[in-house]
Parts: sequence; structure tokens; C-alpha cells
Amino acid sequence: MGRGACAPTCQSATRAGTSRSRTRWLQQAKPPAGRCDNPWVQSAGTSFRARIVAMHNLAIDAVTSEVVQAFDAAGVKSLLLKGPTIARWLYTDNTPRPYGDTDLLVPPHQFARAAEVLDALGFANEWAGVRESERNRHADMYVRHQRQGAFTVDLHHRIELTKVPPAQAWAVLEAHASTTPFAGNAVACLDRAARCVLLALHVAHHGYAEAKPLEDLRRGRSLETRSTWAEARAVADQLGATVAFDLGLALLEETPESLVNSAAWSAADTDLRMSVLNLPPPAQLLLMMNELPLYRRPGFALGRLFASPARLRTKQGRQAPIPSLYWRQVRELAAMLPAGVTEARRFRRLSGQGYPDR
Amino acid sequence: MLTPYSVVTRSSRPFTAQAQDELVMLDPDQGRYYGLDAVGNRIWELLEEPRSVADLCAALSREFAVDAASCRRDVLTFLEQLAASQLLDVEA
Repeated sequence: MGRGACAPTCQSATRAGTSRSRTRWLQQAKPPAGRCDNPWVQSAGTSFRARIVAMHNLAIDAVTSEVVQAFDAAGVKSLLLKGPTIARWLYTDNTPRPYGDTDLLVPPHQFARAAEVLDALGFANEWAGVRESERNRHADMYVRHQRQGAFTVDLHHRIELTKVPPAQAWAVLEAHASTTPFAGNAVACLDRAARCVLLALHVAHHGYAEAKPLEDLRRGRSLETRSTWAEARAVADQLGATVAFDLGLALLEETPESLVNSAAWSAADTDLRMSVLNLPPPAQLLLMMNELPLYRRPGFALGRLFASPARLRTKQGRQAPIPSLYWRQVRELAAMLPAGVTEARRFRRLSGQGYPDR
Repeated sequence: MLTPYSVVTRSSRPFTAQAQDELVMLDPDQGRYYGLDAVGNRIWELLEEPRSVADLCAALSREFAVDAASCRRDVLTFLEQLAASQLLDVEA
């Protein structure tokens, strides 16, 4: 790449700026010993990782723009969540902040229409054919395979950890949205307060296991004012997500051991606590089964052990025969069972003698 | 062929992302990536609105340690490359 004057493609990787006239001028610049501080002559340089992250993010932005345009044409409203909205808001210090997919929330009554639009664009629903109990509780995952790779759209019908009906949640968030330029188009994005809510809920959903949401929340807490965070809590109230919001914030300040003594933990139900501590699946299943009446437990266990073929293919890959998928499922759960029992016991110890009333 | 009197503006087509000192661009129609270093990035910013090449060079000369002649030569070369990559709109 030329030193400020020429910009060949990254793919060609040719560097211009070596003309005779430039060489003469560079010689005349007389840089100070050790380093040239004249940016016309020499750039500071960009890390390979930063460049790759930017290129990767742009490819996802292109898909996002295409999908939002198609939604607009079909009359489907949408709100862009996470990904680029977080990167542009909280990572202005040039720290690369990669994102892996497109997150769009649509009104519940338009979810089916949005799915049709994605299907027409060549996306396939990874959750097609799975049982209702196996579905992700807040979004369906759509994947399109292109020459450049696989691109994913998480089509949200609700926001994780919110308790109000999806239609009500949509109304609350739509009231906190505005249109912003994005990748050559205009998309609807949440305002700062609503984004702060999602930061906290994202941490509560993933707990200590994921570093990225924790870093996002740490930056959001540092950047936004107290009044914005107060407004965020009010939005969380409207979404029925106050407990999860408070717990997400508590994770920034507390270790797992001190968290269980916090007010936020006391107010949380079992599902939320399991999310925060990121229990492995066998531990979660054991705890969930423990909450059921005795007569329902065998059916629950068998249902989890013998998941739908569609669910197994989503988890393990689409090429293997069904019997081998089930055999692998049984082997994996059996292998994780001892650790699952240990984790479940640890969870019960951290939660006290019993579970809080729901 | 661009001259100092040419009025230019950047194309609205590419998506852009900052990568430390560099501006990385993706032209979705061509499926190609481009990278601009710090000075190229500043030129791209200044071309958000139409302006003549002469005005552009005058602004850059105020901001960077470069003489007028070198600035004009380097900027014209750069703009020609942008135009060849269909990233520049020439109005006059």
C-alpha cells in the first residue's frame, strides 16, 4: 500500500509510493533519528489481526445489509442487535472487536414472513424439524453457504431472559430505536439505554464462561453515564428482565463465590442461576429433572437422551447415519455424567438448601 | 484524466471499517477488499462531500507535512486509482 497516496487492493498487496519523485521527497523530509513521524511519509502500521477482523466484519455487514433490505422490501420490521452496534459504540479505541453473525429482532407477528424472506435469500433454518422443547428459546439460526464461507442470521423472536410476552418486548424496544446509516442503507438500531440492557442480559445469559460479553459490559459501564444506566434499568423493568439485568451487572463485580451471596443472586430463579454459572448440559438436565414430579422424570430423561434426528444433525453434523448419531449422543452424555453430578451438587450447595420459589 | 479542477466525491457503495490506522473497505458489488492507510483514510473522509482536487490538496497541505507539488502529484495518483477501482465519482 502506498504511503498515503496510493491504495491498491489488499488482495494484490502491491505497494506503490516508490516513484522517483516520492523517493526524492522522502529524502528531503529528513526524519528525526530512529523514526519518521510524518504520516504522509510513513504510516504507523496495522496489525494483521486488526485487518482480518475488519475484513471479516465487513463481509458480515454486507450480508446484514442485504437481509435488512429484503426485510424492508417485504414490509418486515427489524432491529439490528449486538455485533456492529457494539463494535461501533464501545470499540472506538481501535481494539478489534469481531462478530460472527447477524442478529436481528423482528416483531412476533412477522416472524413467519421474515423466515420466508430468509428462505428466498438462500438461508436454511438450522432448527427446522427439531421439537419445540429443543428449540433455542429466543432465536432461530439461519445459515447460507457462500463461496466466501457460511453466513449466519440469528432471527430473534424474543430477547433472552425477558419475561414479558414477545409482542410487548418488541413494543418496548421499538420505542427505543432509531434509524441509522449502515453499510449503504438505513437500519433500525437501539438507543444507548436499550443497548445497555442487552449488554447486561448478554452477560447474565453467558455468565463467566464468555469473555466477550463481559468486556462489552465493562466498556459500556465505563463509557455510559449513570443516568443512561438508570434509564437502562427502567427499560429492563419494562421487559420483565430486572433480575437478569442486575445479575449481569453483578457479574462484573463479583466472583462466582461472592456472587452467590449477592442480592441479585437471591432474586434469581434456577434457570437464570444455571445460565450465569454456565453449567454443563448434564448438570442442567439433572437439576431440571429434580424440579419435576417423579412421574415426569423418566419421560424428561428419555426425551433429552433421544433428541429428534434434526436436533442431532444440527449438533453433530448432517452426514452421519441416524443410529450413529444417537450412539454418539449416549456416549457423550454418559462421559459427562460424573462431572454433571459434581456440578449439580456444587450448584445446589451454592444455591442453598433448595430452590427459590418461582 | 483528473485535473486540479475536477470535482470528485467518494462512492457510497463500499462498506468501511477502521482497523487501527487503516481503513478497510469492501465493495459488495465487486466482492473486493481495499485498504487505505492513514493519509488515504483522511482523503476518504474529506471526499464525503464533493470538492475539487485543488481544495482537497489545500486541506491536506494544512494538515500534513507535505509541499504543494508533492501533495498534488500523490493525491492525483491516488484519486486515479480510486476511480479505476470504481470507488470515486467524478462530477466535473
